[in-house]
Amino acid sequence: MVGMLSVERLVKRRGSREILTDVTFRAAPGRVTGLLGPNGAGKSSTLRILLGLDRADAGTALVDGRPYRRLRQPLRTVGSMLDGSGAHRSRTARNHLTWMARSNHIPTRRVAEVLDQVGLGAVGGTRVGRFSYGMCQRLGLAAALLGEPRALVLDEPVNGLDPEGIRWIRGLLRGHADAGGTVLLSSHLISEVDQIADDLVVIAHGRVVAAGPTGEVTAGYPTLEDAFFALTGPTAGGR
Amino acid sequence: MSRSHARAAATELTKLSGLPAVPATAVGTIGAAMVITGALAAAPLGADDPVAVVLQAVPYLQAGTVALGVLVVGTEYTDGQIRTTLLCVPDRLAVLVGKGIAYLAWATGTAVAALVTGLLTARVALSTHDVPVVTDSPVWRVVGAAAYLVLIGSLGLALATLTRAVVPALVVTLSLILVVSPVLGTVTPHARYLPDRAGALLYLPDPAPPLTPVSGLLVLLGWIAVTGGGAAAAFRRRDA
Repeated sequence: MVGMLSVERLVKRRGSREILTDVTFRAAPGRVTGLLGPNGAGKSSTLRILLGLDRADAGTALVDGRPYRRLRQPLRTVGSMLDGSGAHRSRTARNHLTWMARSNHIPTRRVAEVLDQVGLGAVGGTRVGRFSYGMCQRLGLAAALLGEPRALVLDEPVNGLDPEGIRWIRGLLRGHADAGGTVLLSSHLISEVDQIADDLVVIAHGRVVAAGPTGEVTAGYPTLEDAFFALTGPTAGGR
Repeated sequence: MSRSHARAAATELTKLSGLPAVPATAVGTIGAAMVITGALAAAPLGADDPVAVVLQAVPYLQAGTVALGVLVVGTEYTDGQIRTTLLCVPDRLAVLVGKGIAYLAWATGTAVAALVTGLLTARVALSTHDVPVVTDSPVWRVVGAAAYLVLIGSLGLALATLTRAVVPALVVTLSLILVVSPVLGTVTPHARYLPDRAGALLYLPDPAPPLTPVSGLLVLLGWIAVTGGGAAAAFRRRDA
């Protein structure tokens, strides 16, 4: 399926510590998948391997059946956003997106389009160092949308956004999934994921402790929050 | 060069022109060439040949191309831009090839502009003296100086790839050239095999047997191959 993200038995070690153990899940087209877990659970490590930034010690992470590093023009297949703007502070937002577009043979007109789309149209010529945290998040989103990709992979996308920004991004991601795209987002904010995710992957201590449609994962618990703490707490793992 | 390498190079050129520090370094190097050659030519007991004056300025100008080399890679590690770069171009080798080509373009342009500016400045400054301007030194030494400036700066690029930061790479490269090399030069004749000393035979008139300009160039290229090879291996192996 176009846009399918599949992670299979991923293992990652840092020194002697295993930070990911047999992590397996899928993010399907047409759905928003939330990767939920406390800080340090392994969410970012999983996404970094999926995006070809870090190497796994075992297992596979594939985009449309191929590792990210094999994609020829990756921005046209997967748009991604990690912590921070990912832009050198002395560049303008426009220059940042322009070099990105050039690298993947994306028409330059997309730069102005995505700047407008994320609400940075008026500050494209401003240096990124003068941006607020929320504006950096918006620039990161603009970069993710630049190549009109089928899949979006976003690490903590609502961090730093104001309530209006959170509402906006929720609508954007919902629209992307409803149009047949894939959305994989990580968060440690239970309420955020609860409101947007169709599927949940709950991760704790580098292991997937629950996965499935949001309703199934939270079945038997009064709220997602109760489910989260029961699943990820110190006594978790027996489900 | 494959199409993906050409694209990576075009990407890196766009990236460099968007970093104010890069054009500032180029302009600063050209300005320094003007000031230094002007001062050297105005010195009462200095050389009376514009080429000789410019060649005396090269040891100062190398700080400029070293800075360019360091900036090309080092700035990737400020603000996590390296992740964006690798998300755009996951092929590590293509990234490095693109950076190498973009560096060569900026460093060659800067070195040639600085040396030409220095030649003109020296000529003008010398013509204000009463002594006639001579042109004894062969012009190929100026070409050699340009090649030296470009090559020595590529060591900065390699060291920035290894250290993953601007300041440590600048400190290591410049202290090797400006401190370690002169100190070792007073202690042992083997210092002639250091990259800056071997490479200096490309433009300096004094021979340093057994090295010749050609073998000096080969020694410098050897240093670049070793540090560059190590940097490329580390860049491909490491997590971003």
